[in-house]
Amino acid sequence: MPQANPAAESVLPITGMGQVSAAGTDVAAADARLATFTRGGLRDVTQPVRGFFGETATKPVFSVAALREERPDARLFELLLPALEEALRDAGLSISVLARLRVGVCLGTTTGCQFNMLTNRFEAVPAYRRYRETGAGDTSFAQHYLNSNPAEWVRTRLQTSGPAVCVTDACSSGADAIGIAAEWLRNDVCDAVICGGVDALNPLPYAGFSALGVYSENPCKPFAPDRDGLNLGEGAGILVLETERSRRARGATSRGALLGYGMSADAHHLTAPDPSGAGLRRAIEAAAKDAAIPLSAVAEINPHGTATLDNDAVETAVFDSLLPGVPLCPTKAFTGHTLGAAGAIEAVFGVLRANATKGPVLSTSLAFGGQNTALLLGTTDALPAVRSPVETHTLRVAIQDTFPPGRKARRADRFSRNAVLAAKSAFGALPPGTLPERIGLIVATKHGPHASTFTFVDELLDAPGLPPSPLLFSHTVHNAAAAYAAMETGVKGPSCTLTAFHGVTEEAFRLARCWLASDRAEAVIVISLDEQCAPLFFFVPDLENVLESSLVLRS
Amino acid sequence: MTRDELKTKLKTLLIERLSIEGATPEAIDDDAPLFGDGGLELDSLDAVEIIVILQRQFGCDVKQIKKGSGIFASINALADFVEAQGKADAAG
Repeated sequence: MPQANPAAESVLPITGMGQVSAAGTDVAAADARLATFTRGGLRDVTQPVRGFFGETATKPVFSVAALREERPDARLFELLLPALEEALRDAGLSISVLARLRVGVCLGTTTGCQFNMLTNRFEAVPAYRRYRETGAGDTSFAQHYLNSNPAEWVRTRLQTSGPAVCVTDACSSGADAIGIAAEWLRNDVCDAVICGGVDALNPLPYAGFSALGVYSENPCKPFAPDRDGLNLGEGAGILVLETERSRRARGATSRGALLGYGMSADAHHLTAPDPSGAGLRRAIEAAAKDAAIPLSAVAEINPHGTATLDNDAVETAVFDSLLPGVPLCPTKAFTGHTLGAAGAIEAVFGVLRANATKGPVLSTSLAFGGQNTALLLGTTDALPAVRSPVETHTLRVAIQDTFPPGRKARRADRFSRNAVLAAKSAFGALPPGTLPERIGLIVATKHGPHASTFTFVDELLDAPGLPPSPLLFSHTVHNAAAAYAAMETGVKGPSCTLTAFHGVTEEAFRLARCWLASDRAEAVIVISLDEQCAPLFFFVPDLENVLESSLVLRS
Repeated sequence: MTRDELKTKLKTLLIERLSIEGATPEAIDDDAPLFGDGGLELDSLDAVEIIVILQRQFGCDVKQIKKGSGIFASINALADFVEAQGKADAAG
């Protein structure tokens, strides 16, 4: 059915910000800490702690020690709530004001939306062990998983009326959520969006990154020649992004602005960034085009800067060629790598730095699966531009199971293989000659790849002293499927994975139409994907197998 | 475990855990390179998986493995490493 998008604004005011991280438990505390920046260098970084998960885990983590764990089964929400409240207070959004506006919720996460009984700090493990031994047992702890989608949790808590989805794009989730919020606002879906990300420290990614050999035994050293890996952190970053029209109508002040964003897929490898940096470069250039500013105007860069050898090497090469001489302000030595929250916490830092430098700040995020996101944050001087509406149509594609699996997908689990099948079917229906960089890809899922997640947790539980399979870990992230789909079809446009228990496929179509209206893509492949696996089916019995493939095009 | 049994065990584990489609232990040359062209064409993610296989299946101490140490050169090189650690009989 054709859908028209009314004209909307380009530069979006940020009317509220909140954050919780090892750098501080609110924005002001983090700002004071980050004031220790010197140009291009760092001093007085946060000291990470060791032994967070007990005796077997000795590498440093950046915990938010000031926030005590009152409810270990709800750590995610202990981190999210103060950041959310701070951002709403900052924006002047009371419950009664929220009720008058069309408010969306878009949050990035990796440890939310995951049926991972290690999340509730081992309390559920005995029940899960009993299920594995006897095929029966107490299913009540499944409720924890069914409440673990942070975006739906916020919608329920605040009774917001707009869309609410999580972005499960691994380490770029928090930045991607802000980009999706921008699409909703510019395409008149919402007046304001509560966007950002949240993640808690958890033994699953700790073991996974350790097994991958990228977890440092020492405090991480982003961009240092002798860097040897990342440390995990935890936290939440929340921004209230709003239309200028809504901001003026409310008389709200703005803290800064989202000038533009860009997203791209490497279509290269499941875990490693494309060493050529071509995908990151495209995302940065797309952000500059979106913001209608030259890259030479960028005052400072908050890089992804995880302190792994590969990540920092790719970023250094791309910045040297695209933004020579622009100072770097990596912040993971203050916060650790907060995974799905990182892009959002760093967007908050980016706004602080934009105000300090009086110039645009580039914030980059690189994720598993070769996803790249660039945000351009600035002060609110820019004038809104206007976009033209477009009409779209959706083509439902029949999935054929005759495609050879393809060399790059040899390691893919069943969830990802199904995504590849669906993507190839839709790809075959594209208008001939469509450039790979102009094709977007969205995976919509209720549950994500749980067969691999349960197997990975089994390895951790069965042999606590031994490293688990890094290959399995790579398949526990929800966006592995999108990564394989991109690699096997070669599509390199914007890509993301949306997770929600309610209405996630509809949200994927809505985002696809937004991307077309914003001219980020000429076609978007939408895949709806869920699979049954025995443990999940036992604990959440109303599971369905879903595999659908669609192509959203301009009509 | 004899050296031939160890090599067959290593090949079977690699085929299974790295999902090397269409391969059989007999078809993998003991001296063919595991990485790069002309052999199994494995990559860095396979390499970290092999390190975990050595720990989980053979109880090897992998702390000493550094880049360019040559243990990933071939099936023979992997077997040398397991034997040098006295773990050839430890395969679980």
